[in-house]
Amino acid sequence: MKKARFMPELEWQESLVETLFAREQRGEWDSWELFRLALEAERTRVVPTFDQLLSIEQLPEITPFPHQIETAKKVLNELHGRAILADEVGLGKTIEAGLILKEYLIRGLVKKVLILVPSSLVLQWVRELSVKFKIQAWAQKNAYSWTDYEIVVSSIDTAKRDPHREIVLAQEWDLVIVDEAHKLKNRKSKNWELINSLRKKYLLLLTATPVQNEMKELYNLITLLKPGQLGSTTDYSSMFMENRRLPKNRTELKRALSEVMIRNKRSEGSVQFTNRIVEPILLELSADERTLYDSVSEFIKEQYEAIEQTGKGNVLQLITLQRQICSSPYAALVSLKSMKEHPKTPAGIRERAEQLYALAEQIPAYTKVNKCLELIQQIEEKVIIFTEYRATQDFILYMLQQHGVKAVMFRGGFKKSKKDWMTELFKNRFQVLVATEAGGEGINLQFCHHVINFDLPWNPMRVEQRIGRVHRLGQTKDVKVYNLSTKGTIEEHIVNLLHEKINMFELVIGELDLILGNLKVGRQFDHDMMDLFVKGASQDEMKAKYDELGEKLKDASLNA
Amino acid sequence: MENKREIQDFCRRFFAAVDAPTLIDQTDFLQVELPREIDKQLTDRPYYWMYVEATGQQVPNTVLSLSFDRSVAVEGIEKIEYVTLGSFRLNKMIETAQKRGRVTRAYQQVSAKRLSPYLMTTFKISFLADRRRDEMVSYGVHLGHGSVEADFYPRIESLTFGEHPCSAAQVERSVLSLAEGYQLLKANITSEIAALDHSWAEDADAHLAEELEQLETYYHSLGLIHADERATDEERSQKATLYAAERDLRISELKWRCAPRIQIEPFHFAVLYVAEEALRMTSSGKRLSM
Repeated sequence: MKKARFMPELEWQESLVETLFAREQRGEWDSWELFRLALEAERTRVVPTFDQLLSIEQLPEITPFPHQIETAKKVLNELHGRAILADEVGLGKTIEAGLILKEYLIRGLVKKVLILVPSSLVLQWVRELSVKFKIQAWAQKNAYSWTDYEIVVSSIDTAKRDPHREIVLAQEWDLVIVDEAHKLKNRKSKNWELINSLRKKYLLLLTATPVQNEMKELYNLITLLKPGQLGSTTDYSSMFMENRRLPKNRTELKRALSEVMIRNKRSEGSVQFTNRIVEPILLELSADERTLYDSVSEFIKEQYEAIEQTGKGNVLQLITLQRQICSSPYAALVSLKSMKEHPKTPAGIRERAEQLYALAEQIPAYTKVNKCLELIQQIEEKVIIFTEYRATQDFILYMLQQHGVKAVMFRGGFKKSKKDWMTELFKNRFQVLVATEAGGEGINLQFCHHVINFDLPWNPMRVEQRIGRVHRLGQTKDVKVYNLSTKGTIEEHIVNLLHEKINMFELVIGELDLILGNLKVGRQFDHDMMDLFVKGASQDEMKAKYDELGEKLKDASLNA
Repeated sequence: MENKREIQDFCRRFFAAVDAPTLIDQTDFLQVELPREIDKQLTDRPYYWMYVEATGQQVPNTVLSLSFDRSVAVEGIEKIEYVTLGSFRLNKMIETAQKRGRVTRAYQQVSAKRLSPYLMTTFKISFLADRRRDEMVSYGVHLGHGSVEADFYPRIESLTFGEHPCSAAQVERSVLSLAEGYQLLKANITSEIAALDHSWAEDADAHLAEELEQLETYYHSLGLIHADERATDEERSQKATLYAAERDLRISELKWRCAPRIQIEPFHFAVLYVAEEALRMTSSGKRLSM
């Protein structure tokens, strides 16, 4: 017997029929030429095939990279519009999401869209959608925004609060996009619960770190997209979890994930990065700087040992001081001042702190700052100077100003708008940016390709984060990195280690993102290094510590 | 409208059709003056017009300078808009054309010929699941004897039409009402669609079934996990209600996204009076396909 032919349901949309009858009655007819133009125009809005991207030719403002186009196609055609976009940082997840959104809009599959992003990025999303994708989106302003606008951009914190929550949940969203989706990792959180309760057709979750700490997080994200894709929670633990942090049956897991997640990696080479040229610059401290460094180090060593014996005291403060003294005497003044002025400081220590403070105060010129000025004059192009400390930053800015070099600054706590403004100034009018932090998501500094590390974070991942701001998608020139360090100090070790290990870290570079957010690893690393330094550990021992960190990074990688 | 030539031709014809005077017309560049009514439709500034009209001001007409190639520069003109597919201005023009060009009546401009009455429509047919594909097919039904002609618009596209018949033309009277004519067109397209190959929909349906099963399994397992907890009956039934609601939401979302269906929309209508032999002379072979 012949199988009955499959016949999908027919949906008639016939409102024009009534118009026809009404027009006949009134004898009211449109112009023949406009009638022809209307049909010709409609042909551009016809979707001729299921699987070709139509958006590309309608976007003259951007030229997406091949991996971005592939990702968009895959989400549309194979992942059925529900996916985690988990590209490594800097590969353009937002472009991918924009392409997918544009494609759905052109295809008429999506009208009502909710885009949830960190509040500092709301306006940037609105702007980028408009400039790059010619999509008119609106920043959420009040309780009416959810219903008034077709495409709303908001922070998740606003959306989950009353009175918004109820209104948001009452809508039917054709597409929901969540940026920084690792904020949905916890199934018991209000964030997770909100996204789970939303009535939505398509869903895109954007995060470079689908797993930050625990394997569970991945399960929770995927449950939002496709409940059951990784089995029940018990299936998941027994099938895919070695322990809380490590996966097992990786091949199987990867296969199951490939139906809901796309992760492009830098190492896959879909994007050509420019070279990174690292130049270590080893400086000789001046005599008075030397004296200060030695005295402070001596002091720290004594204190550290005392704390180890008695179990009393503040190790963190010592670590900070040790790092500050590497940065600049000016930075060390901050810790020394609080030590000498804090009422709980024992008298003996107070006295030492006062001596050291006086010593630091007297230093007239800093070797590193002089070198910095020299470099800036040589380079003649835009330069970013990174330092860990605000005090050092102030001092550098002051010295630049004294020498007639125009500079702007970034520091923690600046609002996004202020950072944008500083970026504009830096781009158009100033030669130098002095920064205590990398600027964070959405700040684009690719127009600059010289980075001076005035001091070095001990943790190599933070170094990577700094350079990564400049050495990323859109950088067209080779990036030059100048690492300043001074002979016979901890920094000299750090620089040596960094250079020796740089390949290893580049190998697992993508997985750095995975760990960067994890403060615990960072703090533990600082403690371990401090311990080794103070105990006068050999270069080999410190190298072993770096190796260990490298291994941790590899372990954390799902794709290792 | 696939390239800049076709786009600018569209624009030229559009401005002519809405009586907007062209000030400069060069290769890849067009400067036009917008009459107020067209300005309102193309520039999206309702509050400006409300203000102007409320205060009764005399304002000069807007002048648009449009380029169809990025490299175009015209001396003395600073603000040049680059028009491409998907750009705001072109979208507005399309919107306007589609608002003002949906339902028409026209007579073929031939004299001393017999003109037959037809109701023509172009159906936009969308094959939908979580993806989409469209086709546009045009049909005409003879309002005298009711026969349906396929591929109608392409056949009459190149003929000249006007609002009134030429003086010596004989216009045949309709026997069928427009409603009856439409019913014939509808019956015709329905049977054509039924005859298509719907394997795309079968695939989509299989995918839907797969995802449904995954959902069912998942929510079943949730039920099992929470069944043996040392919870009170009330707690347990609360949880069960919660999961049941969530499950229903997921299922309806899934069908909304993945269920295969076909959307059919008559895109426009024209009552056309055409000479039969003109209709027979042009023919193309385009058919609805899958």
